[in-house]
Amino acid sequence: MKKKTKQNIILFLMSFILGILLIVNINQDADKYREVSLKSVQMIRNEIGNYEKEISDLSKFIEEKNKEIQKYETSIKEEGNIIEVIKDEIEDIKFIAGFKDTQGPGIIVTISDSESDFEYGENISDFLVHDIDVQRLVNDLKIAGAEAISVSGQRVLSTSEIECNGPTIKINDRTYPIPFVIKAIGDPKVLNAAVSAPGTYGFKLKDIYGIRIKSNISNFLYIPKYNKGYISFRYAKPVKEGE
Amino acid sequence: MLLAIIGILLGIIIGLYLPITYSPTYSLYISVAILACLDSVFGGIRATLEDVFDARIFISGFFGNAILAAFLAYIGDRLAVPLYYAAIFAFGGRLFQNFAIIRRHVFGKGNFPK
Repeated sequence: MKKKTKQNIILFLMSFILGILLIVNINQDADKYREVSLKSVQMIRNEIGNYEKEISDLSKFIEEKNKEIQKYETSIKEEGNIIEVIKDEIEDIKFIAGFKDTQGPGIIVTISDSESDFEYGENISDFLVHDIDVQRLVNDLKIAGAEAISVSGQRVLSTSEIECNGPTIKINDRTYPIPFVIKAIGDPKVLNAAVSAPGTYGFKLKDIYGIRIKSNISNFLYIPKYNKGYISFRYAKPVKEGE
Repeated sequence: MLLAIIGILLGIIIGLYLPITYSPTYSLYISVAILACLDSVFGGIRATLEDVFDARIFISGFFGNAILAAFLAYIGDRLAVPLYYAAIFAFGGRLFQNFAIIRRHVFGKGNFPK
């Protein structure tokens, strides 16, 4: 009897192992697997990261919009209409777009042609301030976080050109001679570093070409609004949300 | 015999929840090994019915046959000769023979196939 029980236990155990082996092998689903290179794993990981960033951006956007809706709702509740809120918003948007006079701390950069002596073999062009010099300085200021920029009193917007016009440059369709005065509102120290620290374009102009660049930090700067009226688009049309 | 069937079913149920995975490249070897195990269990059932069951023979057959079958499949892969056919035919044939004998034992008919 004892021998029989032992036999049965062994038989049972072995059958048990067989069952596990069987189902594990069936469950492998070899068709579902595919060999994947490390590079594509990395690529997919990056893609997932991008999507996650997009999702968080979008949820931030939703939060912002919800706040706006709340603002409208409180306005409706308290005053019965949203005219005031919309007006405020229009003012804000005008300010952001550069259609409002702006003030704040910043720097004034004055640029004029080099006055060093011209020696034989040198290129006269190297002594002059060019449109591209102004353009690059403006760009450096933008990178340094300038919030409003004007060149010779003209507000620099997305449509503003800085173009060579003989010894003068043209900006917003008006022509200005040297010295060109760039005003920028932002963190004065950072802006100053962006045009005068060693290695920057402004430093090269001054040090190598001898162009006279002077940057002054100012605690109070006044930058006028864009003064050519509103920009009207003939070709560009806004994309409706949800399209 | 009932115990063997219960064992297999229990194994299947527990195996469903076991998080075991291996490279799909080994799938063939495991499959052949499973065939060998299946043959051993059928042989074991037949032996108990015939009262000639020997635990040592059974266990060594169970694991030995499985390992040999998997090894044969592996060698076959290396040599580009499908040697695992040998295991399939040997164990597959015996499986049916054992099953036939088990049936006759269960239903009590005397004329066993040779």
